Amino acid sequence: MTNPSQRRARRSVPRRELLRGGAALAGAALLGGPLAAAKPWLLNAPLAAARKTKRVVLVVFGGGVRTRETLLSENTPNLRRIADAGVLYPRTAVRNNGHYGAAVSIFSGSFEVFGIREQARPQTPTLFEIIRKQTGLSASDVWLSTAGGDQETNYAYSSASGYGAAYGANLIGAEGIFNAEFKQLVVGQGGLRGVDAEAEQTLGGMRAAVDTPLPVLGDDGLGNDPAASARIEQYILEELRGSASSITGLGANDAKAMLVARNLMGIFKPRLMAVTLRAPDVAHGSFNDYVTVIRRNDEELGRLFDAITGDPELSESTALFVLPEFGRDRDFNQRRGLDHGDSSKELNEVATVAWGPDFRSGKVHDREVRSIDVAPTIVSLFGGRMGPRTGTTLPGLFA
Amino acid sequence: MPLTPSLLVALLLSLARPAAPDDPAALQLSNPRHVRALYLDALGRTPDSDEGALAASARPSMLVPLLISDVEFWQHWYEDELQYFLLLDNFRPADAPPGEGLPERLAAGSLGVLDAVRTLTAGSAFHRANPGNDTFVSVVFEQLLGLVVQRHTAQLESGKKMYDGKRSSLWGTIGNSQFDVVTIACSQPEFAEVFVARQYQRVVGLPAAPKQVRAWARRLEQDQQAFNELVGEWLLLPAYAERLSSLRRKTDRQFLRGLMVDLTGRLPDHETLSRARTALAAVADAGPLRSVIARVLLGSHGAGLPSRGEVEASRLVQQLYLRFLGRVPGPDERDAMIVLYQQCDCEPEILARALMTHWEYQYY
Repeated sequence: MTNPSQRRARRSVPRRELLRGGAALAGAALLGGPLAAAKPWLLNAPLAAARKTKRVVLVVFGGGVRTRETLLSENTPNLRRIADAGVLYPRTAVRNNGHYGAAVSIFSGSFEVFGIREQARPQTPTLFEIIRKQTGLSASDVWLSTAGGDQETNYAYSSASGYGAAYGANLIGAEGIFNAEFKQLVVGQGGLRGVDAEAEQTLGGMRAAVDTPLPVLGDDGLGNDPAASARIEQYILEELRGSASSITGLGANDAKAMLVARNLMGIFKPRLMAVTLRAPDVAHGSFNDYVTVIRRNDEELGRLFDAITGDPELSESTALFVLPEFGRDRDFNQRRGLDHGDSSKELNEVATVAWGPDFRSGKVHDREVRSIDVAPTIVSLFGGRMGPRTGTTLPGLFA
Repeated sequence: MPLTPSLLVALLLSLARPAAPDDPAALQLSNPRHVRALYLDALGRTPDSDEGALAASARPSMLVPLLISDVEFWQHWYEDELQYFLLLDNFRPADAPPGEGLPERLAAGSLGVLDAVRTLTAGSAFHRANPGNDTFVSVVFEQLLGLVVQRHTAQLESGKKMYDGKRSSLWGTIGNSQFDVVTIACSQPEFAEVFVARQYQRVVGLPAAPKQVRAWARRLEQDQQAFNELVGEWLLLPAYAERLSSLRRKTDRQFLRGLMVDLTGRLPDHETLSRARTALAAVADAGPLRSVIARVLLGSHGAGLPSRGEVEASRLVQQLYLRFLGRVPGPDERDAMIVLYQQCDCEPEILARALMTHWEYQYY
């Protein structure tokens, strides 16, 4: 036994290092675990022959955002600089089939029809499932950070036959976890302790020593292996210790989703990372709040972009796509807000921005494309193909 | 935990217990895993230490009827029904005055289980959760009758008219209100069949044969109070015991309630349960977050563990495996745990943490 002062003197490993490595946590679980059977060549392989792109980030800059308040304004300097360094598709056709349905359409590459409150999963496989199924990527390589809401949990995977949870994305609804109430639950009575690297190492070893003698009944979810689960657990603990839960104010949910995405990129360096935002829908009641939220989301987008370009590994290997699910009405409603339902060009045509090491720079593609073309483009970057009745790859993208 | 009526009777039963037969196709209450599973399936929580000890010396044919006649059985059933119909958070039905809630009325026998489902789906909470004719009628058809509405477009349209207050016919019965949609749906033979099939899957963890489902449904239609008997029969079927030879994933509610009972012997308060469930609903894979919750609640509440040195390592490992996983460790597991524990500068809590944050703890 040691006394308390000896315990305090234990070596402290930087938290981020601990999360990145995960070796201490995984312990012997890595040996012989499902990851050992994964295809090692996939871990850092370029997405397609002779391309530099290894990772893709897709930001659904959602909540209903018109181009008039983004690239045709001074509100979004960060989106502007990304567009200037990449390819801009100012004529991206969308369908106003509800926020959820329109965002799902981006992920599935197929215009999906849902009621505004409908909880159903998409019927067409999402790009997460197609990429995981066709390339063998592990669950911990494919992430989705949402601004919250039960409905958005359905983005992770579809109900399509042959796909589903086993090929889904790891999804975190930031507001659902990183909120003051949940933090109070876990912190309130001293349950959230600091990192003790030695104890974590012992814990990892003990977990790995558990040899479950019984088979599991039925479907076993996303398929995160024990090592990945341990790293995700550590990540959640770390985020709970951090500032995400205390983010407040207009658009806080979106800011949390972006922060989570940024941290996930830095720690896990996933091959595919998607983020969905929705706070601009405050526009129904207030145009000013709508613009304020767009500006805040643009600042967060800038931080994410800087995190990518500031990381030597990510900057040379990551592609970024940004687009809203649809725009908003042309004219104000009676509350001096903006609804979405007038079938105007402002509603049905948005801008898509694509940036990456293999893409052209400073180009504007004036011909019409569709929001459902983004998923097939990303899937093709991974060397895969979407199914029938989906969009096509974005033209004029590659350098 | 206070001595509940069921606990008291179990205690009395245990005083005159006969030895349980060692039948691999039967529920074995001498097996802690079986006892934990029985409590999780019947009451949605694990047994506390007293209940576990008493159950170990009781006969299944005596303990099972006790558990399923308790109001806690019906509270668990009710909460699972709310989850099934997504009547959660803002859509949760308002609490009834003490003694008048559905679980209490079901336990008292003043309400039948099929009538309880009809009451839930005809209530204002269900209407609020499923606004609009298309959503409401689709959900009623799908959740009560197991219909794929795309294949029953004529009935769907008729149901939507009825929802909107227009005179319309569904399966030969005329109605003109939302209430009529529910009432007519509940009068179809498929209603009891879908309910029985769902409940069997919920309790036993496996699908039932259609022929048996139909027979049980007719029995339930004849006497709604027979639901307790049915569940009791299911829990004593060889199929249930055979299911226990594999691991079934706990629902979030089972996990959280079982976790608190395992740690403290008490159930979580409503606020803790609600916050944790909301968080678990915000992730696609709840496994890592469940481990986080187990870790922090263990840190907050402790588990009444001895200090290092108070209990010999091999005994400690054995005790904690039984307490949290309901099984003894294999020889290699035990040896590895003992070595790791003896090598580390740590308290027994780390052993508990390793077991409670292991994926096996999320199954039963």
